[in-house]
Amino acid sequence: MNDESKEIYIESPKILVTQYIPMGKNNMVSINRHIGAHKAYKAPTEFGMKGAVKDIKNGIFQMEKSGVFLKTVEYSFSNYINAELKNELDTENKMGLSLDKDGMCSLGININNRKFTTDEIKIIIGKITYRSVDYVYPILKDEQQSLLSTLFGVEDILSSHFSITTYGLVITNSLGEGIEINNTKEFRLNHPHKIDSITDWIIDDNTVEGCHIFIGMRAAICVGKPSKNLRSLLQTVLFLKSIFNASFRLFSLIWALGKTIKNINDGIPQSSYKKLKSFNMEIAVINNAISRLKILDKMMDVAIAQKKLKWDNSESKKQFSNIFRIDDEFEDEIDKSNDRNLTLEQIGVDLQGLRASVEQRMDLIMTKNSEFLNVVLLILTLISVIGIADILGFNIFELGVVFVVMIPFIIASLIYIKNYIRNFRSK
Amino acid sequence: MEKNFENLEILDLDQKKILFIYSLYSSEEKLEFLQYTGILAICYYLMKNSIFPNYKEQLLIYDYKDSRRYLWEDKKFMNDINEIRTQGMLIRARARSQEYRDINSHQCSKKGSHYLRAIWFQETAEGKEILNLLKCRCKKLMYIFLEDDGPYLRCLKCKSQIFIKGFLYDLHEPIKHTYDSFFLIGDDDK
Repeated sequence: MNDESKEIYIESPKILVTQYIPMGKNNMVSINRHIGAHKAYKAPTEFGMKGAVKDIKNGIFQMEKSGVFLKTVEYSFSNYINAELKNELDTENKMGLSLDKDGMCSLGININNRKFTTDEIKIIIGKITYRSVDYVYPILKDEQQSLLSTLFGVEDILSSHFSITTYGLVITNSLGEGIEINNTKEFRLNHPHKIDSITDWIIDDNTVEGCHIFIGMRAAICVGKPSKNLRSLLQTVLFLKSIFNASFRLFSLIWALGKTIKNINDGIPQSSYKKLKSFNMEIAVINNAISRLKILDKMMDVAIAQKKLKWDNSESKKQFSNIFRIDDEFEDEIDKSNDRNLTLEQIGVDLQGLRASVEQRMDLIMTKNSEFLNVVLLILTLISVIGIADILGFNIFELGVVFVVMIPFIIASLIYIKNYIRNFRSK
Repeated sequence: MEKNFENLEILDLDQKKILFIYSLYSSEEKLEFLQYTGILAICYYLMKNSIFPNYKEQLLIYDYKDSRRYLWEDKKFMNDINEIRTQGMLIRARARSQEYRDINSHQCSKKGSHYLRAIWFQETAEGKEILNLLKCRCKKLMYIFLEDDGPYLRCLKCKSQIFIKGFLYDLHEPIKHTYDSFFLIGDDDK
């Protein structure tokens, strides 16, 4: 029976919002040192923005805005940290912050004894996404923030909440009274458009160890209690989805940069000197972006290789084999990365050519400008000649000859003035 | 020449209204399209002005400019669009922005325009009310602009504008429920 009309409720959900953050072991150590993970503070400590203390000589300082209270739950200096996160000292509400060296970042909450509609769950996922900008990004290094700004194509990632892309996981024991699940396929037949309001388009599903797992484009839902190995598998799925999001963003940026390069290239022949100067500045920005994209790409390469190694040696892989195409997705990401490297190389070459074209065009304009300037100087000389001729008492005919000789030079000087205004005068 | 429609009730009233809005902002002959996010914003504005009483406040995560935002879309609206498209009265197009964003858009087909003329929709109370809400004081049709803070209906002639408040859901609000921390992987799992 198709019971699409029945409302689905997500009961006592555990919600995790994940994303890729450029990390690496050094940054991981830096965060753990900053948080003092090894000191096992009993009370949470407030952490502000890195670099917030601008003058270390001054005994008093003021944070630009409130930090977050973090209490380490477990850590390994260069590998990961799990910490409880609060935004106020006296609030009961805590989020679980997980960061690892491979760039897997997650914020997780557990809401007991409540049930939610799918729209409400979707809103909570969105709100946790926004919290990651407010709570997690400020404790990252400037370079990491800058790489994230590049990845999401924004000026300042700390104020660009809606630009970031995350992937969610919702774990629940039940989808509400009267909603039975025997297996995922049958459930999707009965409820074709219920789950996907949270997950977006469902691209894979399976029932494993009594847990019904739906993998969507934006989030996954697991109905049941996942075992340790299954949680490890879900963690790998979340990593791959986060990498998928990041690599799609990277490719979009590369595409957009390629488009900008083409537009500049098309505009060179008709452009004025000042426009060419603005192109030059744009090229410097593109160059900078390409350098950052290359760094991001490299960091993602390393992260994918490390996570793949971990997956290959995991108990989860032995138990679940190639479920949810995990092995294939690792291979896909590696291939995509190689492909991106080539495209980045090509854009780098195009950019070099573009810079040369812009400079050549600027040189040409400058040369023409100098030529015209010489003509103008010549005209000034001729005017002086007229003055001298007048002093010497030339007759009308002789003065007329001097004026006729001057006409081409006057035209040249008018062209010079016109070109000067076009090329050099700012509006 | 007008086409003959055997059944003038092939679309329900909501679908007729949507098609009419598309006919105002798009055209098959002129290759004009209305972005899906654009029609969502217009219909949300009209819903708030009692034009679509069957629609509710529901959410969709969808492209808004160059990012994904939480915005309004009633599930019946989505089904209505599918139905109009199935009837061949809307043509779907996918284009791509300079920022590599896929853009879904539609245009009112010639068949759609003929249908609206066949049912004299512009002369109905609903048609007049929609036009009244979408035209500014100078009687020009207002266009939809997707700005960072939300969509605006704006008159290109007199520059007057209406901000469509509430279309984008504000996620800065705190989570209302009590919650505890959750980690997928604990120390024993590492």
